[in-house]
Formats: sequence, structure tokens, C-alpha cells
Amino acid sequence: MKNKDIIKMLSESLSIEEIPMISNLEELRGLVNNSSLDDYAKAKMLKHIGHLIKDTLQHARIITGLIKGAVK
Amino acid sequence: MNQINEKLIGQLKIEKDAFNLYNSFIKKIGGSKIKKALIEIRDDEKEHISLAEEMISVINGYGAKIKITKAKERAVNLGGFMDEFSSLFIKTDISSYARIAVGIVEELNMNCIYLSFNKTPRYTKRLMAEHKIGLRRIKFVNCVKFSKEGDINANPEALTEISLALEELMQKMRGKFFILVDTISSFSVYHSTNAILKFIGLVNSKLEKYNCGAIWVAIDSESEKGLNDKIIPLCDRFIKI
Repeated sequence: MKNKDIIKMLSESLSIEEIPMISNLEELRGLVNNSSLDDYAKAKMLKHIGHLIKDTLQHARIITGLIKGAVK
Repeated sequence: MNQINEKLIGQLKIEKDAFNLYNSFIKKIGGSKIKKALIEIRDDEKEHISLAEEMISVINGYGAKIKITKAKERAVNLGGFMDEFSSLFIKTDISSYARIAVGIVEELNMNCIYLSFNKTPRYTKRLMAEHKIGLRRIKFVNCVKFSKEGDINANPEALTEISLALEELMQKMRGKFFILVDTISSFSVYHSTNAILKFIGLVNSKLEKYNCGAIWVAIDSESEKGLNDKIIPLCDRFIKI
């Protein structure tokens, strides 16, 4: 695969992680926090959402590093 | 269907899209460090799909009984922008910046040049459409190399080319408008701090001529601190969110 295609592919990956993924998760966290869900369900949901956000941010960091590597 | 369920179904779709996207890339790319990293990310997405499905089943158990109190959004204070000052530097965390960028476009509700430096504008457009923002007022400058999506394209490695593309657009814009840069932090993938600062200075120096404003969005992180600290004095106002 050519370097230019790798950069394009990684930019596409970064876009999906940083824009729809994170935005949706943050909005979801806000909704759950302000919902009438009982404490058990709320805690379970927030734990899962937190896990997804942590992984997504990690993915964005990894992909940014790969882009930097591909650009050099 | 309640709002949480709607968001969860949306999340499940995004996770599945990401899984399929990584799968297609893994098939195309040869054995390398990048392939190994993408396989790990793809496997995470598989787990994320299960988590999203589990959350949907939790919420389904509550039926329509869930009530949601409207939360107060963390709004950006844009008071005085383009009347009292024309350049604004916003520093925020990575998980908020997309929402903040869209919020700015929504709140200012005027013509906009949206410079998307390291992300394909497709997802930003979708997010704006979800927020019912009219895309006709926005001109996207796409700096993702080799990604042609019908926007104005500029090579991320050539800051002169980007500034020329911006000026050409500034000349064509009608009425009040502003430039939104998403994100200035991403410029450091290709450029030195000095080159980025010169670029910001150049664009800011043209704002008065074209009677417009510029909003520079940056990611607040330790690795970007040096650059961010140097951008602050180049702009009229600075906000940390």
C-alpha cells in the first residue's frame, strides 16, 4: 500500500474515532447522568460508556502517532 | 423510544461502521506496525459492539419509563466576537472539541469557512446535519491529503497553499463570516511551531481587510502546551473550556 493511501486510511480512522464516536458517547453520558435510571443501571451504563470513551481516546492517540510516523 | 435508546442505537451503528472500516483496511495493508495496531483497534471495536448491545438491553428493560432532565450545555461565550474582537483562541479537551466546534457554528449562525485539517469533513457534516445546521452557509477546506469529497482541497504540507485557498475564499464570501480552524493542534503533524505561528499571524492579519473573524480550536494536552502557549498572544481573546 502506498504511503499516501496509508495516510488517507489513517485520517479516515481518526475522523470516525474523534467525531461521531466521541461526540455520541459524550452526549450519551450526559443523557444517562440526567436520567431517572436507578443507581444500579446508571452506574452500569456509565461504567460501560467510560470504558468506550477511554478506548476511543486511546485509539485516536494511537492513530495520530501512526499518521505522524507515516508523514515523516 | 427514549433519547438514550436512540443514542445507543446510533452508537451501535458507529461501532459497527468502525469495525467494518478497520477490517477493510486490515485486508488492504501489508504486514506492518500499522496493521498490528489496526488489528488491536478492530478487536476493541468488536468488544464495543457487545457493550453497546448490552447497554441497549439494559435500557430496553426500562421501556418508556425513563425521564431525562434537560442538562445545561457548556456553551462557549462568543459575546463580542467580530464586534469587539476578531480572533479567538479556544483550548479544549479532545472529547469535547467536535461538539464545541459544531456548537460555535450553530450559535454564530453565519457564513463560515471551516478548515478541516486532519479529518475528512464528511463526519463533521453529518454531526452538523444532526444539529440541523444548514450546510449551504459553510465552505469546507479539506486538508486530508488525497481525500477528495467535493470540498476545496489543500495540501496539509503546504501552508502557503492553505493560506492562498483561505484568502481566495475570503474574497468570495458575502456578508458576515468567520473562519473556524479544526484543529490548529493537528498542524503540528506536518509543521514546526514557528511555521504554525507564522500561519496564524498571517491569517489573523487579513481579518480586518475582509471584515471577518477567526476561531482557532486547539486540543488541551501536555504535548501541545508549548504551541498553545505561543498561540495565546497572537489572538485577541483566549478561552479554555
